[in-house]
Amino acid sequence: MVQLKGKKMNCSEIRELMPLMVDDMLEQEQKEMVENHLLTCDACKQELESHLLIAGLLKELADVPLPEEFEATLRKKLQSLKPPAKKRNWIRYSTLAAIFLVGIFSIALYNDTNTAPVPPTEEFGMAATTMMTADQEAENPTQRMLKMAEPEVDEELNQYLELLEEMYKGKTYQVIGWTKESPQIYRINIEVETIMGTEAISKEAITYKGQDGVLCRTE
Amino acid sequence: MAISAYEQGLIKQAVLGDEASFEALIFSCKGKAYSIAFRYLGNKEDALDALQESFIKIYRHLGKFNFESSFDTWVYRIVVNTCNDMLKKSKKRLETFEFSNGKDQFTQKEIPDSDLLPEERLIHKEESAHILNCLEKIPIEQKEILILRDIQGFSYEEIGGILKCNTGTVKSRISRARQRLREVYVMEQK
Repeated sequence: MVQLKGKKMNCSEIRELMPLMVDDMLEQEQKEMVENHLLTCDACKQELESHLLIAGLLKELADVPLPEEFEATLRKKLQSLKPPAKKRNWIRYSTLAAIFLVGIFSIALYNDTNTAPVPPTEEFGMAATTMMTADQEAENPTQRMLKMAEPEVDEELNQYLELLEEMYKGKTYQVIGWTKESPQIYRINIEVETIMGTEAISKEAITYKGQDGVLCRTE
Repeated sequence: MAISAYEQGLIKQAVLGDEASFEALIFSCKGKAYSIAFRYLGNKEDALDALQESFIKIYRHLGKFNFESSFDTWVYRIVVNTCNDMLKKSKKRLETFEFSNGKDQFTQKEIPDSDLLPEERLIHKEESAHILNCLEKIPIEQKEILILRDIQGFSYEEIGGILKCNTGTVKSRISRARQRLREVYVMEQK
């Protein structure tokens, strides 16, 4: 039994303090208590020795050399993380390019055939062949050409296209077209390919509604 | 812990996608990070997987580093969490496997010689194998804190930063873990 500042401690209490003797983390008072106890208790002394032995064995396990190949593997992996950003840009630019080409094509077609004015519509995307009425075109063909040549970037639409890209990551799908129902509501039509069995491919047409930054599948 | 202007510059560059800055940033801690993962998971392949996964997480989420701890502490925290996740997954797989094989309880893993490093096989082979086996037989939270303190030699404050707990908690956890490991060590010697 140990007595310090009026407190008596038995072996089991001393042994509770002992693990922190290993790295000298006891309070001064506790440390003195344990040291005094060890002067008269061989069993506790042995227990402290076993703690120190284990701590020594654990310390020897510290050095584990990092395999040399790790750096090259990590570098390769980090580099491979970049393409998704490029892919996203590619989709955005190819979409804009498609709008541009369809616009040019429709102008050429209109000029060749000189058909009657087409009523205005809110259609965009792959079906966006009539972004302006024929009357408007007749008023200012140069302005019309410029407008067709530099389609405005619709950030909200791009945001929905990016969401779609994330949702269908690793799957094959195609954006068929989209409409803007109101300034806040977009409807995007896509076609998703699923491989059935070994060779057969099933195609499913799905329409998504984009509103307030949220994209929902519609029936 | 203060972060040097040099380190801050590297972080900013790495956030912008500069891989060389990122590599410079992890240069000083990757060895210790691997050592933690190796002792946690017990073999080279899993440790390399955990390290790679950790560094990719760090690279992707570098912008979220809040400069409240040292960068190294943040790295070690992510390594420890990744190792814990991997252990949980492998334990789940093992339990599923044993269930399908008609076993009804989780059996403790014995450390084969191959899990020891070459130098461990030559010097103190028996002691090293014995203490590693004992570490496998204590709860993972206790093994974790002994890896950080007694194997890697982190200070109590550093461990508090890595495990996100106060020094008092670190102290009591270390005390309990050492007691438990000693009991297993003595019991296994008999």
